[in-house]
Amino acid sequence: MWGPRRMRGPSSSEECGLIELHEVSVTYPGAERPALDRVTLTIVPGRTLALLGPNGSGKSTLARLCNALLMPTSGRVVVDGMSTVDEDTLWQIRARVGFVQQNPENQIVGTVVEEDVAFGPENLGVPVQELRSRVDDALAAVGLTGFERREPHLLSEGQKQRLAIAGALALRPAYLVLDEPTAMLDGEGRSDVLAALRRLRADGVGIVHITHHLEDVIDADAVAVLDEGTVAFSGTPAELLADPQAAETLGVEVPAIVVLAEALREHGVPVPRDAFTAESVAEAVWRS
Amino acid sequence: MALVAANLCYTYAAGTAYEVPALLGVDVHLECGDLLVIAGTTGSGKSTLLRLLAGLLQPSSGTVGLDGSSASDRRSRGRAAMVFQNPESQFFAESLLADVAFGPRNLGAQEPARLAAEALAAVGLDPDTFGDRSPFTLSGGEARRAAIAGALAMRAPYLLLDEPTAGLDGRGRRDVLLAIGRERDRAGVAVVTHDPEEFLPSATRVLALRAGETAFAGSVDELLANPSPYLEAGLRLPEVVMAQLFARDRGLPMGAIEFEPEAAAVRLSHARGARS
Repeated sequence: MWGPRRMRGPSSSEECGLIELHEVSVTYPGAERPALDRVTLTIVPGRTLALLGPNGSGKSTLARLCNALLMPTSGRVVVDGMSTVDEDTLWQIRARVGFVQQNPENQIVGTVVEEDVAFGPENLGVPVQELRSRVDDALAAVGLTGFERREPHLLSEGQKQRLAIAGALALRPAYLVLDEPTAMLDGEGRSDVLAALRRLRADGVGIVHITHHLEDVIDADAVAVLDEGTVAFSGTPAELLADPQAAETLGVEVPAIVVLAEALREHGVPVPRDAFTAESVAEAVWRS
Repeated sequence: MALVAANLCYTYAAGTAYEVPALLGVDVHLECGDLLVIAGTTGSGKSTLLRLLAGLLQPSSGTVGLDGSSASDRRSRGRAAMVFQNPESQFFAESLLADVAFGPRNLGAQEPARLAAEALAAVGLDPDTFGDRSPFTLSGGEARRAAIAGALAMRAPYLLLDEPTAGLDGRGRRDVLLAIGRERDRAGVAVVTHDPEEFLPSATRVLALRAGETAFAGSVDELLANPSPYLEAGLRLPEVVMAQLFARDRGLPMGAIEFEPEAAAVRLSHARGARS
């Protein structure tokens, strides 16, 4: 359903489908130290890169680099072969990299839900017949089917956040960058969004998921932990959790269930290392 | 002395074709020392309830009493301090210190600047570093803590917080939780949240809303003894608690349910030993 958008562009770009950040630094005007300092990362279609790190570590700065909302002070950001500093391909990059910000209020423009979702593709000249299916698909992906005629300002915060995600999805981006997409969502809304992100990944979308909650991204393909603008850890979630103390030192909050599993192992209860849910831990205690 | 709401109902756009019933008869009791957790999924009516308690909305029916006066009465002014979900929208002054001092100054407090500096320190924002900064240059986490400081500085006997920890990192959340804990020495605190996990261990009472109605009301012990109505309202309990509840459902003799992972590990391994 969410196949990456096929764009006309430099012929080489179709082959090298990646977002590459190479030695990227960003220093904001007047700032004493860089917000990002020589960061190298790769974002791959069909995979989720989780970005963790404390407030002010550079996560949001990195997110804004990926779709050319912000240019690096030094280094390069290359999206499917196109550099973000090249003005000729700026709009192609932005059509390929969907961006969902921290605060959904700032990105809702329509007077009713379906118009808001249609705004992006309509602006890019998507035919009316196709608009309908794009809007329906995007709303279904975030669990807002049935809300088409509702007014966005009457939605709750969590519903607004899901609407913002639907707006980005309607552009059928090849990549989706989400800055704390679940921060305002309740349990149900959050699992709906996480499930939608998993479906998008399975459909080949490359996802950058910024979060404070390792639980949300425990099934990510890769995790990068930022600390004061540098990449302090890069690996898989399991590698990060293999040494809970080291993860804590990086400012990563180790999920309490992982601490419980570790404590149970110390008490001689054989809990598998990949038991990251309450059910699997309880099951391990029961079976042992 | 208490903030008491009885049979509160509220309907948005009442009398029009667009009316939306948001609250359908909810009771609240909050007094000094309390931490009342108002939990519910999006659209359950919890933010509406908080606005009614703050006197910002007039109930369609039912009453809100603030130490014997109505919440919307002029005498109640400054007695219930509220922090909204989007703190960025609350700032207006040139410096953070002036912004936080506005509340106490407006209420005629002595030494508003001192109250403001203390409130900033209480949420982990050093007044010497942050006091002169423009509130509009703060990061999301700093802005949220600064907005909470603005409410703390008013020294109101009732503190009403809408999602005070959303978007904060671990340190920011700990600072806010500590500030709430200290505030309970002199105030009653109500917290609206869709993610009550971190507030539950210290909560005195839990009110879970579902589609505008009370799904659960009681103490944390009562909640853990019978979590079904709460879970069916779409709310979550901490994974550590859930692991113990799953084990209890399986027939393991759990005894008390613990919030801390280490204590939970002791309970679970004992329960396992007791069974075999």
